[in-house]
Amino acid sequence: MREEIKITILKNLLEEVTKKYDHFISQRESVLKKTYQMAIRDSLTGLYNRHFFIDRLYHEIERSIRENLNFYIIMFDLDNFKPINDKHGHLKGDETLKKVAEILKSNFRSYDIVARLGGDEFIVLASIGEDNIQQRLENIRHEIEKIFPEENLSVSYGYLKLPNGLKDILEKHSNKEEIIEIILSEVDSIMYENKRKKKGLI
Amino acid sequence: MLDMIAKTLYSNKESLYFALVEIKEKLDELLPNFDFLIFSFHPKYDYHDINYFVNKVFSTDKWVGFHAVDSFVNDEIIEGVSVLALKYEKDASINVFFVEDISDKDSLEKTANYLNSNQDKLHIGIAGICEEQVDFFIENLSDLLTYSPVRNIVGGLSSGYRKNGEVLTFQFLDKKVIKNGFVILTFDKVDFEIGISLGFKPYGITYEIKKAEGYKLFLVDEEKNFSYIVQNILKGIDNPVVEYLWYIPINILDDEDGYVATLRTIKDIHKDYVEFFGPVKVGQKFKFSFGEKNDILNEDLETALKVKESIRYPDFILNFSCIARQYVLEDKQREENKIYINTLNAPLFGFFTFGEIGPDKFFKKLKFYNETSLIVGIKEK
Repeated sequence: MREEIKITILKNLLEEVTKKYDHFISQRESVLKKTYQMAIRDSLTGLYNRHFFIDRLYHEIERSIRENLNFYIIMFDLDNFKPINDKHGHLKGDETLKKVAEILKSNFRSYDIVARLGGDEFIVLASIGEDNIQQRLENIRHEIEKIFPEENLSVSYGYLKLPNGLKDILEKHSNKEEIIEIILSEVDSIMYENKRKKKGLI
Repeated sequence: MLDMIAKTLYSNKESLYFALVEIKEKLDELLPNFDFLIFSFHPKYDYHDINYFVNKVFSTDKWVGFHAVDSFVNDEIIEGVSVLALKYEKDASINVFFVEDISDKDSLEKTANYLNSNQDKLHIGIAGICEEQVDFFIENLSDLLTYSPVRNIVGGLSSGYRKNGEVLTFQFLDKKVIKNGFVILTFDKVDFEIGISLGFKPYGITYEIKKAEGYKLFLVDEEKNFSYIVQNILKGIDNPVVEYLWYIPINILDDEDGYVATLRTIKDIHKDYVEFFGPVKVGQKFKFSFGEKNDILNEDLETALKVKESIRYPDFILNFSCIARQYVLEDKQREENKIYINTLNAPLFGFFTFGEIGPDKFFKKLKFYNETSLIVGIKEK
């Protein structure tokens, strides 16, 4: 009789303890998720941050070589953003950056990586068909230009298709950071070249 | 080598007078020239008669007594009268200090002064329930002790039951019945070692007390009704009684160091709160535990071995053991005492308590324990 009671009590006790463990673990998971999101996201726009982007970029490079897949790195830099901040204040500037972020997010798929590199620079790691890219980027530019037409807000972009040309880089460099730096610098040059062209400087 | 002589005797006679006479006759054979007697009386005896008959039969004022529903004489469990008779062989002595009513405003200070001025001696405290105030008294007393470590105070709460509107957990001295206070037996010129055996293993992760008042625990963690948790633990049992929860006392963790500081045994379950046999406080953290008789006995053995390592050959052993613990030990109740007497090779005198008093793990403070077994091995210097 007592043995049966003890077994029931122990069973119920273990159930209670398990419930408490589950609750504890789910609480911890939610805190961890929140902390993780804070670590990988840009706090203003909610896009991924530079650190996360770079981490994913390296994994994507490895995957594209392994599986022979193409992907794009697209860099965006806003034109005439500074006057918005200067004339209309930082709140308006922040609002503009958030709108840009929304436009970028809505023009790529959920598994593409859209990140804010810092300031008014954005970068995207996307798997899109070659035929579509130019048209899609132009659409994005048009949408961004509608945000603040009175200050002629626009965007310049440059992109690089990977892993085209990547084999040369990988043969010459083995350091992960160096490879990333070279790729980012390459796409940055393309974007600035386009910006200069756009402004009629060339 | 001369040591203090300790003899343990008992009688289960229903008449107090004849029980005392039976004990006296045995004592006359074994230790006629005793120096001090410590009695345990079952509350079934009319307490008004105790002082009269002790004086009549033993013709001495060197005695104290207290209520206990059961006492231990070696490995026997007695529901009558039992006694520990002591005869000093060197310079040992026993002084009796008492407080008649702990609600007297100077009782705390008086007790603290007494203990502070006798810090090299062993103090055995035996208290009544004192309307559930004795544990708060102990806590406040502990704060007033000016010495450290506190490893010389041990004791327990007399066990009894309610009869004619009184809770029979009294102490007795020559010409005195103490109903709302306590007695301290101070042993001088003795070596001693205290052992504390908990034996209940903690389970699961920690709860935090969010709402408590005295002995009542209302809410834990995120405002969860603790009564609901406890009721769930009794689910699936036909006609559950609160005693079943004595298998799972809560282990209150030390505020600073996180070790299991003390046990609290559940006394009653109400809709909105659970009542314990000791105080619980907001902010305290605890785990549930589960008592298995072999775990308890294993810790008893470890405790006895530690005491033996320190004192080697005690003249006698005092034991304070909680009633709830005895419930969990079931058919092994006598095993606990057998372990103590077989390990320490000395006569044992002990009794069931409604709470135990002893130092904490690091001898920083005095604690009020539940469901614990405390032993003290004593040897004349």
